[in-house]
Amino acid sequence: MTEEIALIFTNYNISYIFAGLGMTLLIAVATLFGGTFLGTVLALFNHYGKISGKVASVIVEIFRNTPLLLWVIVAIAAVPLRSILARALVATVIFNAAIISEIIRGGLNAVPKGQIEAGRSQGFSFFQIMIYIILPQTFRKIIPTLTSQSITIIKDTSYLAQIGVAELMFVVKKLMSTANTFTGHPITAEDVFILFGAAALIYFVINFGLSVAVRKMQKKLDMKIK
Amino acid sequence: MNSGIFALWRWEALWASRQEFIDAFFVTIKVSVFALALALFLGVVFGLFSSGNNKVLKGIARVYVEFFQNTPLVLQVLFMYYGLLYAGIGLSKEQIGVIGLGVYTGAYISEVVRTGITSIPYGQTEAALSQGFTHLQAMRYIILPQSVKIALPPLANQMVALIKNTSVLAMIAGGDLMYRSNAWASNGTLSYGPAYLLCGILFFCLCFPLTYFAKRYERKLKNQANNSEKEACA
Repeated sequence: MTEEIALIFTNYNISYIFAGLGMTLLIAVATLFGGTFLGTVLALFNHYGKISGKVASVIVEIFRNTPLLLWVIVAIAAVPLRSILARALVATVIFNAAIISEIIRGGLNAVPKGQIEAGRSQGFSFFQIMIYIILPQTFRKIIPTLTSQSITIIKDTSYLAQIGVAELMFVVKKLMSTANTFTGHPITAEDVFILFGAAALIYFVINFGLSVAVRKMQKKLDMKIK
Repeated sequence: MNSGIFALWRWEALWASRQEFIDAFFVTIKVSVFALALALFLGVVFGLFSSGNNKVLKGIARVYVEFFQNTPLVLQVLFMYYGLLYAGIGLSKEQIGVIGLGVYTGAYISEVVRTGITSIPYGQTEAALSQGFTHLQAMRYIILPQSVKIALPPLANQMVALIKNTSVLAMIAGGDLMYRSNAWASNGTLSYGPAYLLCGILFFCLCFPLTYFAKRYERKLKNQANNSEKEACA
């Protein structure tokens, strides 16, 4: 086993794996921020708009009830951008915006309505009330849920392996299918185990860290409410 | 010939291969149903483990939940697929899908079950035990019937996640709806439009009733809780 590990993890392969990890994190961060921004807009429409609220909730339902992979593949076929990565990002951002908007809506519900009236009476515009009064409180409440959504986002980047974006899953799959070139013998179950095990470990360390953080934040928030 | 992505002749081509899509749809449903059964079984077992008093069982349940929730489903399924392939163990792709999805979703359901059980005050278990119920009887007759009510909405949401996640089978060419739509669309006529639209509609038809039910039921539970609070105040 140890010889096999040494054969597989050459310097070149290690840096290849880390490049894949970098790509995974890049996709995840872009998706999280893009999705949160767009999700906030959707949630505000959904919560305060009448007709636009209906439209927003239809959009949310459509994305919540269909698989991410479908939208990624649709984006690859239909979005007029040059790079595959950019097209895939369009899909992951919009898909997550729909899910995050539901999280934000939950947070908006928890802020007392009187605050809007109070803001109005002080001469704030709707936009100002949102930016300075409502949204900061909303986000403080939903940070734990948003963090656990970011775990899902990181895990879901692995779907992009299907369309050839060189993120962690793709990289590991590729190394596995060419393992015979650096081990010098046909691919064995052991090679699969080592490579996929390494990938699992990397994903686990990041996501477990995040899930511990979620639990800590949740506890702190619960204490404050009590 | 009209080359728009939703041109009429593309729909005709889709209609001509309808049997392929019907078969794929049934693969998706079949995998979902069996995976759900496995997930429910694992979820209840590990949920009971993690809400019980036995430290060892609790630890085992914790490891199970943390491992499967913190690594991607895609990785788990590919791991199993290639591992079994090179170990020479023959499992069909559908079986791999059922096991992969069942074990993954089971980790989530076990957390749903645990929250359901721990949300019932422990005093009720003590009361039941003092009346001569065994621990299992107390669970069966007193605690679980109440937990089920609380757990139903998140359970429905997990079912939706499971159905959507069957698309992971497309990554091992598993013959499911997602795979078939993509394969059909990228072969020959390149009729992406109708194929993806149909795929989306079918997934939506499977999932929407569940999310709708979850939302309604959750609201009902909340209203009940509010009403009983009001009664308590009055």
